Amino acid sequence: MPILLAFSGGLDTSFCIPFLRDTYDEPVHAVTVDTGGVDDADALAERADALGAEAHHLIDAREALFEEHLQYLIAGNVLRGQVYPLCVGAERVVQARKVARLADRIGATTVAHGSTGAGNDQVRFDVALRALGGGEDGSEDGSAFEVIAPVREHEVAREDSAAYLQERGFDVPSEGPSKGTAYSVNRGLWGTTVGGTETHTSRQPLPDVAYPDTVAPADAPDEAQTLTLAFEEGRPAALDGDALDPVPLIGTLADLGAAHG
Amino acid sequence: MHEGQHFDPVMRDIEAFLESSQEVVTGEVDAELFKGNARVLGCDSPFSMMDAGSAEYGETHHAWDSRDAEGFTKIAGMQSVLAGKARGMERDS
Repeated sequence: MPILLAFSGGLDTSFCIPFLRDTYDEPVHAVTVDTGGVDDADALAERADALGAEAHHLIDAREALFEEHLQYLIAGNVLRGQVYPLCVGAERVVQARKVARLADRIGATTVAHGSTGAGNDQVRFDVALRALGGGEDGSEDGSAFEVIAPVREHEVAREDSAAYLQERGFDVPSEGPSKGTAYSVNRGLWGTTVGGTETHTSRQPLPDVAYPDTVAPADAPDEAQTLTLAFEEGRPAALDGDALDPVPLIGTLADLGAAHG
Repeated sequence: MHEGQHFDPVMRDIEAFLESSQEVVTGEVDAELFKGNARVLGCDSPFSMMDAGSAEYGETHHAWDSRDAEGFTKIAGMQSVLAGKARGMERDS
């Protein structure tokens, strides 16, 4: 019976594909739910294939992310601690929903995610997947599928998962947003989070290189960018007079913002 | 949602509240992006209460007159005055 893995292409979920195959000897389907962080879908599919996935599924969930979550975050001006826009929590709910639906469709009895034991994502995925029909044991308690988190369960550190991949002849990303294994980066439509190295203590800021898409403020244009945003009943509707659907509008704003630090 | 509780029924109530709150959130916002800072320059809406025609913020007023205002300040201070008298406070302490 297939295992369905929520796959981002990062270090942890890359580790999971060969690890799950080795450990369970079952076909592993990889699913990437695009919540704004997917630049090269073909590369992701190739990567999943190369790592040994039975199949790679890509689901564009950006509109669902807006309709089911972002519209409320915008309406409420929601910022945790007055700084953090809850971007990752929102992505995880949408991803869990799409993953659960796909699990039913392909008859997967196990859903796996790459969360570690350290943070909030493990709670988000476990709780959401169980609320959507997952359980401790797919067969015994009548749940549709079992939920597992191999990186957490086996307490795999980033150096170890990198070594595991290298031993089997797989590349470990040395460029791109993660800068190798130094940073864990989650890019999405509503924001990007970065963790690692400097974030382990309170003493230092993140260096400019750790920001994946943003021009450093000092290097940003000397001329300010002004813009006009139109809202209709709380929904972003137009940018500088051009009507735009929320997803492309937010994407355009993100690009503008990134160019200006 | 941050802590994985999106499926708690109270979230549906919160979403209903937020949706309801957006009924008159229609208009335009002018913003400026500059070297890592974003700021609002100004905004306008057909539903603006600042355009409701009865006053200019902090300046002249048309919806109430000076007698209304004096009556208001008298009543607004009543609680403090009565508390002072009840405690036998000196007027200039």
